[in-house]
Amino acid sequence: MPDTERIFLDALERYERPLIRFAQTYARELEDARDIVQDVFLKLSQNIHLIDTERIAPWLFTSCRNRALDLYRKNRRLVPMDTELLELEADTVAGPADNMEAAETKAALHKMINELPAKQRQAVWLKFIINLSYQEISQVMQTSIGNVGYLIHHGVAAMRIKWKAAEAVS
Amino acid sequence: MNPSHDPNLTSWALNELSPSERAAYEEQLKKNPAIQAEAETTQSFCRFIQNHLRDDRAALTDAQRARLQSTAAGHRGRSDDVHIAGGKAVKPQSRIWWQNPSILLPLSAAAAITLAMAPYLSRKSAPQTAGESSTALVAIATPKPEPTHLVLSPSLAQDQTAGAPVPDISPFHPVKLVADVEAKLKASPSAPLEIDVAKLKDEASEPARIIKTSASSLSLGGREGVVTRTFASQVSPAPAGMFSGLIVGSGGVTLAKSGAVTFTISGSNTFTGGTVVIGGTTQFGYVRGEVARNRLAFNDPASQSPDQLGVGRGFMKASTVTPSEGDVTLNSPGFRSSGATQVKSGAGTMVSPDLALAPVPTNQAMPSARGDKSEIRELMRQTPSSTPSLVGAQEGTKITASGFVRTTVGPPAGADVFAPGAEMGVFGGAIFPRKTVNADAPMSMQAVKDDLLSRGPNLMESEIELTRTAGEKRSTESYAAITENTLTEVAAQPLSTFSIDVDTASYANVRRFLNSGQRPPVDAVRIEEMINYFPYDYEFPQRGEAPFTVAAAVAEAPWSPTHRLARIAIKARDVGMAHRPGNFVFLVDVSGSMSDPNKLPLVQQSLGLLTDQLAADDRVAIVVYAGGSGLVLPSTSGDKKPDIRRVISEMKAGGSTHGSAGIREAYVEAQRSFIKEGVNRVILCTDGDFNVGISSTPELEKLIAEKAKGGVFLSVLGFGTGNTKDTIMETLADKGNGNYAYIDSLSEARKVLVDQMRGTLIAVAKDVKIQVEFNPTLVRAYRLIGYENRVLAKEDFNNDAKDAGEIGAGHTVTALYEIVPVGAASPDGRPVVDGLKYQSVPAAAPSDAAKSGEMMTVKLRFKKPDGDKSELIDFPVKDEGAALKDSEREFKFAVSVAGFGLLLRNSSYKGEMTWDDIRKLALASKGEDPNGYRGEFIQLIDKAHGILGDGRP
Repeated sequence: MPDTERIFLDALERYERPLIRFAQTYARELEDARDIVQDVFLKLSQNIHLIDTERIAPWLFTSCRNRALDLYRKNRRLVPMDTELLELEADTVAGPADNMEAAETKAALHKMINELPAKQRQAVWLKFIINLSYQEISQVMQTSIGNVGYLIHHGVAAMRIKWKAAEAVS
Repeated sequence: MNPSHDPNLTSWALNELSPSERAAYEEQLKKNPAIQAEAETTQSFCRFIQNHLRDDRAALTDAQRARLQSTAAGHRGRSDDVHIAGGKAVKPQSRIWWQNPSILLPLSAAAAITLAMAPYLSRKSAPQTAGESSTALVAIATPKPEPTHLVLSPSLAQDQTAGAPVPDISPFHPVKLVADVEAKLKASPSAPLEIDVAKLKDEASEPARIIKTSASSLSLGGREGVVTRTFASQVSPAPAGMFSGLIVGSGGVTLAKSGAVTFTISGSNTFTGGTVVIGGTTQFGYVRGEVARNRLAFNDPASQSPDQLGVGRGFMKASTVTPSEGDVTLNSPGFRSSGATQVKSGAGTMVSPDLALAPVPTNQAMPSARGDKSEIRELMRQTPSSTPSLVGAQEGTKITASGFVRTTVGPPAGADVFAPGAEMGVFGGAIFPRKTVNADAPMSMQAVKDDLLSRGPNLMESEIELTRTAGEKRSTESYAAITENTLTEVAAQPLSTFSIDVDTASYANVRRFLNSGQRPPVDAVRIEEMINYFPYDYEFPQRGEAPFTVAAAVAEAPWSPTHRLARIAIKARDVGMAHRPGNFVFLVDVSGSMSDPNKLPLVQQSLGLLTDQLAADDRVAIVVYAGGSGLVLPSTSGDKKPDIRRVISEMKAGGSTHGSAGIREAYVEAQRSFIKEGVNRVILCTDGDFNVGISSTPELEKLIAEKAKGGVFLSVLGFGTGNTKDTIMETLADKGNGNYAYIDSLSEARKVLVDQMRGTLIAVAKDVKIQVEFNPTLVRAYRLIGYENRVLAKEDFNNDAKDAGEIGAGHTVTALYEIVPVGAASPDGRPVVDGLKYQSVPAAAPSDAAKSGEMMTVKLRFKKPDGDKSELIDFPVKDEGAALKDSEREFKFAVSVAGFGLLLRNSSYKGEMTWDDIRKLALASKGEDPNGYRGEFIQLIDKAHGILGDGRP
């Protein structure tokens, strides 16, 4: 079934990193996140003929979340996020490539996202951190693309204002 | 609408507009430069956010990605299309795994296979953890009795050895199951199911089907989620059975093979619940990492050839292998296991050249999650006769060192890679002591890896598998079974011989159970230790030069009033003994498992109490066995108390156990500071989960017995709960001429190490044996209460080479015999055994002494602590017909403790005894009870009464 294979490989290429990033909000350890994402893709491969290929993104993110919570329940080793989907956990730890300033910027941006209203926060988070398209976000959030555009537009606008204000202060 | 409120502005900035929308919007922007500037600013701000927040560094490992890609390839149909996916050409696999001669095992001729659903057969051989349902799943039976191989293919490569290519495997050959199978399933989902594999082959080109296992049924067909690829008929040489489909579900799989066939299961299976293989040689392949708890169980005692399990390149988590017999070979270099060890029970060896045992956090209340040292050691103990081997360990290896055992690619399976006595870290790889991961402040994976890598050159980073598993709380305490002494006819055996026992651990242990609201395991109840726990206020006349006094008394048995109870009691001298300097070496387990508050901290408090008692001519040394350092306090004079206290307070649990330190070091130190006229003793403080450098118990016992002959005795202090290895601790103390006490509280520590310190630590006599000769004219039968594991042969009494118990200063030892007088009516009036019809009972004519009215004669043999020739004391005992209520208080109390033990054991000899009876007896004989031991006992009676009910289940 070449179609399902292609769909699977496309999904793997497209969502591998976003899913890892997403899983990391549940599992602090990269290894755990990798295991979760691997399981999600294995499950996808097993179920791909059953899945509406137009809705692979929400399927993947929902599976990822469920898998992470399963693991948490089993092992109590993962840090459970707030049950509200897509709660953002600020990752303020500087990676090796980050310099101090970049790390601070990152933290400040995370903080701003966190201060957005819930829906805007979700949409902005999925857009800028998980790196999904409007269409994918609309699937994950179960809303229209238009609404996603609205939420992100207002979220970004609010952040811009805050950023300006912050810059003015410093 | 204010154009800056148009969401399209941001959509444009983020390039989320469709081409037509984009063109239209850009037209709009051209008309309005202010909005255009706004849009561009938004665009740059969005890029700014993206640049800072988008973090795609984290990704799957290359191996994981490749594996997933090959999984997708596996779904490809049988067309010859070349598929382009994700911009990358996916190469059709050129060679499937069984064509690889290095993997292929001898395949025998094809045989008809039936897939049969059978009741889950592993129950007996693979005990389930509580709460887990189990049912059977797939059973494969073949008719021909020839050598059998089951080969499970490595369908998903787990090979993470350095740079190894990921083989492209997993041939997917969709198979349609015969239609009547589904019909059968629908009709009776739980009934055994047979599937003719030959028919499956015929329809191999049909669309993929599903096999799903569940706790109660096997379902085939439908759309339940997992594609099954089964029984490819074109494989050459034709395997007799091959199952490359995925097996999912939670009910486990049973493979029942009665004959000669190579059977292959090659799917990247995700089922849980265990795998049972019945019969033949078996190779099991890939059990995917998700499998939380998989057991591979073998159960074919009738099989001619031993069961063999081979795991190909695979991955098991928290797995137990329980073949009833036969060898297990985990024979692929890529094989990995995590989450817990594989544990094999039963005879045979288990060899894995490449195995990871993941550590568990030890600071949680998780006594022995599978895979920690106690389990391994326990395993070795359970099957001492058959070289119980785990993961390549032969007896005497250091693999018992601790939890985290990691080997890299090893020598061929079955090689004697662990020579007895070998140090850690051989086996072509490295074995590491437990790495403790604190669950509250988890170490980063990298830190753990770095730590492990720093320990051995053979460990490849890519193979480190760390999983913190919160296994269910599972007690691994073990007790030797006690078979109560039976009533023995005097005519058959006029002599009863046993060694004294001054251990007290059983009482403290029983108390721990009762205080936590649990019924103590029957085998944890050793009545003699319970009786001897209590100090008795005995005042006996001195007989000869013996360092102790001894006397006997007789009264009726309260649980069986026509029977008599004879008490033999010994009291070691406490006063008038010259002070003998002590040379003590404390051997303290500071491994991670000791971190509970009732373990190492209690040890420290206990040692602190003891330190206060030391005199200037006493010497103390401390050896810890963990973290690679042995001696932490060289032998130090008892007047340097601050130094001793400092070392005690500095001991920390959580170090990894260092196998080669330990008991040898302790004995070396004891010998270095040996005090010729003094008391030389190694005192082992452990939670029983101990590992002191010599892994096999027989070897350890031999060493301890040797050292005891050399004058260095061993005492064992047990601490903590959950994995008390009662048997081993008692045995070791026994071999070491020492005593075994269980310390569950500071007050118990005070009793053992302060109040009875001299008794605990200073022996006044050793090899104390008692032999009783009963007078057949008065005694028909007798029964020694307790002392089951101290019974000696009658010849042993006069044999000075035969080791026996020792008695410490001030100790009291009490033994009770239940005696059936001649003429006593049994409850139903019948004799125990009818008289013989064809021979007269060869009873010797009673001697003159038999007419003396003596009930029995008690003989004692003992040696001075440094002597090797025994001395004898003997005296006759007459039954004056005394009633228990008129007997001395100490006798009554001992009887009440014995009755308590009989009820706890639900002994068949408990007769009419009730909790109230023993309570009254104990209350009446409580006496002054300066330490409160007896008062506590009375409370325990009430607790036991509440927990066990009226004692008549």
